[in-house]
Amino acid sequence: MEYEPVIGLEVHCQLATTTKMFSGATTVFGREPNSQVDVVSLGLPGALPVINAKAVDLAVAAAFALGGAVQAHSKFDRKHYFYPDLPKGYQISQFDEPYCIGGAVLIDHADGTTKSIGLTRIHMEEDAGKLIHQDNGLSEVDLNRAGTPLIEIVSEPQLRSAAEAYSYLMELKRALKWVGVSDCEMQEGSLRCDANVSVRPVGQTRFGTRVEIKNLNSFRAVESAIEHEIAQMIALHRAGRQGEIVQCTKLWDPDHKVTRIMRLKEDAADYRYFPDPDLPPLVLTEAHRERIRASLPELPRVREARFQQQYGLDRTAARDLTADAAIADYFEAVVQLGAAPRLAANWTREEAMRLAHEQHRSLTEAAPPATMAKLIGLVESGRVARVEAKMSSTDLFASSEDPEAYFTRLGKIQVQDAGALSSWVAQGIAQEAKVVADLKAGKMAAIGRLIGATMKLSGGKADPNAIRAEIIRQLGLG
Amino acid sequence: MAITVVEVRQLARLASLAVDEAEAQRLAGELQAIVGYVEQLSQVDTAGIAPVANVAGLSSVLRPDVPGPMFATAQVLANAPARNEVAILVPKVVER
Repeated sequence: MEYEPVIGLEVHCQLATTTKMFSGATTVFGREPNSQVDVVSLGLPGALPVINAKAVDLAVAAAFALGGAVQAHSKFDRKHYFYPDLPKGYQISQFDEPYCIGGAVLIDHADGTTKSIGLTRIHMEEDAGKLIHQDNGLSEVDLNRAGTPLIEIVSEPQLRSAAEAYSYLMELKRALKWVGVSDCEMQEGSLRCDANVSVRPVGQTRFGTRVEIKNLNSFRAVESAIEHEIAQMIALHRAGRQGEIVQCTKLWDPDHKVTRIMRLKEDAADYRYFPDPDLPPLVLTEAHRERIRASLPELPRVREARFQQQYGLDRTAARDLTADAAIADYFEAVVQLGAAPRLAANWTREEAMRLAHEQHRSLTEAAPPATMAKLIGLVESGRVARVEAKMSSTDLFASSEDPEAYFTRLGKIQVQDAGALSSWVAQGIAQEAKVVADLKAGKMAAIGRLIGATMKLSGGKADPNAIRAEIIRQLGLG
Repeated sequence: MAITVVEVRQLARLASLAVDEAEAQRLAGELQAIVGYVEQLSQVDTAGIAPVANVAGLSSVLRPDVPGPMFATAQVLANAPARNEVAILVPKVVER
């Protein structure tokens, strides 16, 4: 019998605000512990929460970027549990009236087909503090993160493999980063993911027993943990031991690549949600929602499709160039400055991205678009050999010299004088009698040696394509 | 709704309170009285009245995303029963 995994993801995303969800304490990552704490983050009696307007706007932008229906009316509830990272004894969240319902994330399969993964809901909430476990049986409580604004994005159980879950997360991250909602750094915890996994025989509509996996703090961890859990569940099914799959919460252990049971269903928390009396309901007027919708940039999938149509790029190139809005903007800036789109696409993906990565700088800083466009122009017109341009790019961009002046100074501008070319080729032919004989015998593969010899005679100043054409012309091979 | 000793024990567990048998018996009676009092509200006809989660009559009270006053770390830790230079210390609790 064949089995089918059923996966749903719950993703928490920190919103890129300066201050917390309900108070003015700052939210900078990596600061000294307990240095960004105020009355509200500490849960002092009588301290009142007030909603951060920017957090609301970012949450709404995220909802629109994911195609969700932003609700005119929503409210905040208290979710109660005791844990040392939660000073108030409850987390402010949205329970039965989230600010956004529905939406979808489109994922691409390798075969070129697209699948839509529905979203159940998105709600706003506050983050908890952080516990740093020590060896001496104690834990340090750091409340810097307590109260940081979050959105939780809940998918429908429509993912059918670990690979789909991975694509879903990548696509979600692209959309959220694109509209500036969050930096989505899993390593820094600004994007976090829990996975609900079950397995059922193909054709069965009822879901199998579900396991929730937590502690997934990298994209690879999400994929590996789900893969591991699915394999384990299918093995139990095949052995007729599916009864041993119990509903529980598991933790992913990345060091040993296994999932371990953390809590059984019987111990499931009873959160006793109720409306937070400290917070009035959130009303988002039509005008407010429209203002945010109108301020959104062209979304990544739309831009990706446009790059293919408008610039004739293939799918992979269009996808690479829309991985990030900064890359897409850079590419289009280079094109605007006159570079051929396909060359601009290659040079952006290869050279500009390499330089930016190596130097930890933005694309525009590492390889200014104007210089890049001129460099591409020189390659396109054949005045500088592509290989030469690539080899020199690090040095050229570091020098901030004009590309034409730079290659002229180095004597690397290729000579396009037909007379000179013709005489270099004639010399080459005279030198390489053996190669000429091979060529005349139809062994065209030999032409590389003759091009190389001619190139040498030219002192590297001839364009290899022009040499090839001239050889063919002189030997009458065409 | 009937409040029995079972509900009291469950509530005590959720609230992390130690409640002995005699106390549980007493609390069951007291809580039953409170719930009974509030339950009178169910006699009111609320057909056609929209649910209200907040009675202040306010909506969308927002603040700009601007930093406000924060405590010095020493102040944050001042009331903690156990602490080191930078953090509150608690007995290590494995995730719920």
